[in-house]
Amino acid sequence: MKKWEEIIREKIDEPSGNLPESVFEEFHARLEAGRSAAGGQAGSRGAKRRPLLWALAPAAAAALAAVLLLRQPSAPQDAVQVAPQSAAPVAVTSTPIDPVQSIESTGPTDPVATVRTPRFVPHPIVPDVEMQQPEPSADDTESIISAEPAEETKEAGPSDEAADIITPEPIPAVSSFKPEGPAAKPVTMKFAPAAGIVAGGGLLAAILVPLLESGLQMSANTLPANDFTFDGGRWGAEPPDMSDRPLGGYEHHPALFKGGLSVGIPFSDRFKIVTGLEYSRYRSDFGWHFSGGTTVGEKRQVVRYLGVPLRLDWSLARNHMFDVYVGAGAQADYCIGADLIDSRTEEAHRIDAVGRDGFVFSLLAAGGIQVNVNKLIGLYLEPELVWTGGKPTKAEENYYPWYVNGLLPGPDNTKLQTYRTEHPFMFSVSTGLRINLGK
Amino acid sequence: MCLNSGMKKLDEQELARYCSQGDRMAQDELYRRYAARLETLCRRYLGDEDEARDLMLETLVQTLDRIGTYRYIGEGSLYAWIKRIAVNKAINRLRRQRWRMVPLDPLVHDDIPDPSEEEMEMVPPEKLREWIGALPDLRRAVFNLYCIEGHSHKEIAGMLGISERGSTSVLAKAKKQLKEQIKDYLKTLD
Repeated sequence: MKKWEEIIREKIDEPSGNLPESVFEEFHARLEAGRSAAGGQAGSRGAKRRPLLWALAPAAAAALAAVLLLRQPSAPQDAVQVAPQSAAPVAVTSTPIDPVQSIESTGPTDPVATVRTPRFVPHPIVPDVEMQQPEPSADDTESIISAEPAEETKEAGPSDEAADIITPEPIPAVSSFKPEGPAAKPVTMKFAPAAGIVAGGGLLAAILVPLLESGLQMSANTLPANDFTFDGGRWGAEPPDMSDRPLGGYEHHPALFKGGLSVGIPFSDRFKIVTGLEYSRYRSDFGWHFSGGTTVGEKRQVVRYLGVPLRLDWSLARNHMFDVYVGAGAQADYCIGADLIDSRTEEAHRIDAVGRDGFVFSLLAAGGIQVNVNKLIGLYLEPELVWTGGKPTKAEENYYPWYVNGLLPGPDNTKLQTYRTEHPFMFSVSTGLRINLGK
Repeated sequence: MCLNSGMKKLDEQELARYCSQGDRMAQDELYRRYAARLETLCRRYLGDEDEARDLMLETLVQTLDRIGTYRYIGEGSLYAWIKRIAVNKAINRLRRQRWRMVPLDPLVHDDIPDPSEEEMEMVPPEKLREWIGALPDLRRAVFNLYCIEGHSHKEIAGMLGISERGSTSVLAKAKKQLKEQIKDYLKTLD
């Protein structure tokens, strides 16, 4: 009993009817257009060809020829050595099947051999086997044997092979050249794609960080000078050289940069799990002044986190180049370092802030677009909403600016204050490279 | 002797040879033999009649351009070769021109029984072509490649740039949609 799909296949394969005459005329017109475009031949539609590709093809062939011609063999015996030819050029056929070229003899003692196409890739010569090659000279027109294993010459008919090979010296019994086998396969660069991905991600980060830092102002959180309160319990250590009472200061969290390397693992046509590594960089500016009206200090803080997101993405629309999606999930960030820079002197102090706040957990909601470089790799741009829990307590919020986020010695361990702590619910843009597994 | 009738008697190998030599009558014969079938195939993939006709003409022109590379391997091999060119071109058009809206409907649970052989005999080919042509682009392509051309899901995934799992899912949806239309049509006959 036939399956219904087989019946469909049989039924619809027949043509639905005769084509109108106009289609036949259009067929002729296209053939003529192709002929005139190709100079009288039955050519294809030239408009579809990409000129750049056709220009690249001879360039690639020229580059390959240059490499082959200029390549220096690792050992003199590795290469096929060509004897200088006589004045009369030898006409050879370009038949690829037959590697043996014709030989013209210019005299009984001066045979001229043309270039032989080596059949095997020669291995480095065995040290105890000597290949005695005649030194080529201006008058020397004798041929030099090419890379032929002894077994090959034995197997071939002596009338066929010997006539083409003219050796000034007897051939050793054991040839130093071995046929190409599995061991001669070129080493595959398995690590190159991974290295390329990491390098690409790092390059992307290196390019975007200064761009974002210089221009993008995500928000300004400038507190009025009198918002700092003195609750009596938070003085802690006195700042050095301070005679005035502190009046206040400001916090400014201008820029946030996020970038990373991501892996997408599809488990259906629409859904995929996205994870990876995300680097985020929070910059904050702090300043404080005292009753004398003097700005005591301005510090710039840069805190770096490394996070692992875990998100479920839903693909809304895609083709082979683009993928538009939305997703939701969570992320855990870990502080990997922080710098405190004096804004006036640009003197930087690398502070030991690794793991300062432990893991910082966030909830994510993202939408994004991915541009597929190839089947495996894509570049993504993801605007996302992030909510970070664990807002500092009131007491922690009222730290005094000369602690500068607790990085200076203080009585408490205060949490690192960044854009995220000031804005637990924030909007950011993430970008990077994504590896698409399972495609 | 009438040259036209002579051309009609040529086998595929000779026809291809004459075409490669630029014989215009042989080229016309190629059109007469294969254009209608080719257009039907193109309509199966593209759905739209005008696009299918354009693809068919493009395929024939490219076939004549490359006819020198054709190697006769048996009866029917010329059409099979031309068909492969047409299918590749159709797939490329689909991949290049169309966004695929990932369907928002839940995963398919196909509980419609397969039509029997007797029921399928009652469905005219034109209706089948019409329903296949009305399938969404991706479903149409996967259905054609799997059920008509006989490709595996792995091959289809590579050709269309989707996952194997996606190909299976899309085929199930295409089959379900066609079976619903067949059942609805058979109900109207009762």
